[in-house]
Amino acid sequence: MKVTSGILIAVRALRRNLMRSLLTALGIIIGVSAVITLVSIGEGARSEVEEQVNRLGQNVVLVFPGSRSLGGVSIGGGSANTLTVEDAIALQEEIPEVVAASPEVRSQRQVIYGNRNWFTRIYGQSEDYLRIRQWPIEYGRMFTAEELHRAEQVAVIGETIVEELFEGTDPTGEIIRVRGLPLRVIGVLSRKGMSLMGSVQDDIIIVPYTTAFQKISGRSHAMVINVQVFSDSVMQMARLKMTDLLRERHRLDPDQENDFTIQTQEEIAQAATETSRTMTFLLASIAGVSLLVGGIGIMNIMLVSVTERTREIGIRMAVGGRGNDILFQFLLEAVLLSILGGLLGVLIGILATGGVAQYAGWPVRISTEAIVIAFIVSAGTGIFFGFYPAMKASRLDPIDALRHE
Amino acid sequence: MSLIVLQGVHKTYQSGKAGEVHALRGVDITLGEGEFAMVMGSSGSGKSTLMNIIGCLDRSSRGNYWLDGEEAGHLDRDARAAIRSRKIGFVFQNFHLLARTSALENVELPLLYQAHPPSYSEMRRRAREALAFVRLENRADHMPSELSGGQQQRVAIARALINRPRLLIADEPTGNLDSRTSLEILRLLQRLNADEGLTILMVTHEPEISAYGKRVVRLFDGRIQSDEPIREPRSAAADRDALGEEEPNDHERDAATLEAVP
Repeated sequence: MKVTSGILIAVRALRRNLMRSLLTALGIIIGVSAVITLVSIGEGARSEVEEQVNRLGQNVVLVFPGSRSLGGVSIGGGSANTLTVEDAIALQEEIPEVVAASPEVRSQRQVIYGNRNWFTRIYGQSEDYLRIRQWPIEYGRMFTAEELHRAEQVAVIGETIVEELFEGTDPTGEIIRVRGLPLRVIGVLSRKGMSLMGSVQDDIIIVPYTTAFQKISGRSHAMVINVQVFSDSVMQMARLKMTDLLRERHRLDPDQENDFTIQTQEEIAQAATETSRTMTFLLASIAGVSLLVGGIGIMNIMLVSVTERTREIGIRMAVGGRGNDILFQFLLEAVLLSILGGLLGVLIGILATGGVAQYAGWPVRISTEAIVIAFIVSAGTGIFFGFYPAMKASRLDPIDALRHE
Repeated sequence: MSLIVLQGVHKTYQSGKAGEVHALRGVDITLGEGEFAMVMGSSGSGKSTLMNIIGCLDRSSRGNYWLDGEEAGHLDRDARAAIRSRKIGFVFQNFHLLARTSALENVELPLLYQAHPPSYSEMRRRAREALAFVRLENRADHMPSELSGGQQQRVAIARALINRPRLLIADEPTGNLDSRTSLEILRLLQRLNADEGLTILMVTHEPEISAYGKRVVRLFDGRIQSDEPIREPRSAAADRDALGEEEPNDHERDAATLEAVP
C-alpha cells in the first residue's frame, strides 16, 4: 500500500463517521483551546504586572512598618506604628543616596462636590511623591513644600474623581469636601490604569501629608515611606544606610529584629512576577489535564471503534490489506483527528482569548509558545493514544473479523 | 496448467472446549484454469476451512498448496495478504460492503491496498468500468443501504473483479437472495467464467444451485467425499428467462427493499 492510498483510506473512514470523529476530537478541541486561553490570560496578567512594577517609579525603595516577612507584595495598612514623619525626613536629609522620601498615610473617605459624592482613597504624601512615582500631572500643579509645611487644604485628584464628581469638566480651583473639610483642587493626575493589586490607581486624591495627618486620618504614623534613591547602583548601599539609620532612630539593640521592612522595587517586581508565573503555571496545568483527558477520550473511542469496526477490518484484510496497512489507517485516523482537533482548538482558543479581553476586560497576551506546544502535544496525544487501538486492529484475524457481527 | 493444487492438506484448530479439532484430514484437489467448481458439504464438513486456505485467509497445518504456480501454503500474514491482493477476489454471503461508503468507493477499495496502485483517476475509471460490467453504473454514488440485496452482491462482485484476480471465491453468494436474484447472480458468474475465463470456486449447500457449476466437490468430515464433473451445467440465463414475468424496475425494488428493512 502506498502512503497516499493510506491517507485516502483514513480520510474516507473519518468522513464516513463524521459525528463520531467530531466527538472523538472534542476532548482535544477543548483541551487545546483551554490551554491557549488560560495561558494567554496568565501571560497577560504577568506582562501587566511587569508593566505595573515599572510604573512604580524609578529606583524606588519602600519602607514598611513592622517586620513583615516578604510573602507577597501586599502593601496593606501598617500593622505596627513604627514609622514616623520624622523618620522620612531623616532618611531624606541624612542619607546622601536618598533623593526624596515621602511618608504615606491613606484613608478611605467620602468626597462631596455639589450634589455628587464618591467614595475614594485619600493619600497623604510629600511634594516629592509624584516625582518618586514618575507620575506626571495632566494639568494644574502639584502642591509645593510651602503648602505642605503650612498643611494647606489643597488636593491633586485622579482621572476617576474628575469623571465621577466633575463629569470631565475642569476641576481646578473647585472646592471638594471630605467630612466637611474643604479641599481646593489644584491639579489633575495623568491616567495610570490598574495597580499591582488590581485597583484603579486613578481613583485617588493626594493631599499634603501634614493635612492628612492633622485633619483627615487622625493617625500619627506613616503606613509606608516611599523613597527614591539616586541610582540603581547605589540601591543596596542606600538600603544598608537606611537600615542603620532607622535602627538607630528606633533605638534597637543589636539583638533586636528590625521593626520595619525595606523592599526595593526589584524585590517587589520579583515577588509579583513570581506570583503571576505561579498562576500561569497553575492555569496551564489545569488545561494540560484537560488535554490529557482529551487524549484518553481518543483512545477510548478508538478502542470502541476497533470492536465496532471489526467486520470492516476483516473486509479490508480480505481484499489485500496487510496488518501494517490497518495499523497505519487507525493510527492516521487518530493523528488526523487530534491534528484537526488541535487546529480547531487553536482557533477557538484564540477566539475565546479575544472574547475574554473584550468582555471581561482582562489583559491577555496570546502566547505563541502555548499555541505551538498545545498543538504538538495534541498531535503527540493522537499518536500515543491511537497506537494501542491501532495495534489491536492490525492483529485481528481476517477470518474471525469477517465473521464478527 | 493447474491453477490450484492441494496435496494432503490438513488443518487442526485448538478449540477451547473440544480441544483439538481436525477440520481437514488430508485433502487433495486440483483445479484447472477456467473451471467453475461448486463445493458442497454440511456444516462442519470442513468446506469453510478449505475455502479459507485456498483463499489465503488461513494456512494449512500440514500439506502443500500451490496457487498459480506459487507456493502458497506456508506463507506469513503479509505474504498471504499480498497474494489475496494480486490473485484472489472474494464474494461473501453477507456481501460485506463497507457501510456508509458509496458503491464506487467500495469497488475501489482493493485497488488502494495494491503494492503499486494506479493513479487516482485510473482507479475511478476502473471502478466505474467494473460497476458498468455488473450493470450498476447508475448506482455508483449509492450507499449499500440504498441498494437491494442483488445490487449489493453485484457491487461485491465488481469489487472482487477490480484487481483482475486469477481466482474468484464465492462463499454462498446466493444464500441471502431470493431465487430470481440468485439466478441473476449465477448468470453473472457463468458469464464471467465463460466469457472472461475466470476460475470460480463457489460454496453452496443447495443441490439445485450446484447444478450451475461445471464440477461438484463434496466434502464430508474433513475429506473429499466425491468430485464429479457436470457434463451439462444448467444455464442461469435460460432459467432466469423461463421465470417469465417482467423484472421489477429499480424503483419498485428499492421501495420493496426499504420496506423490508426493520
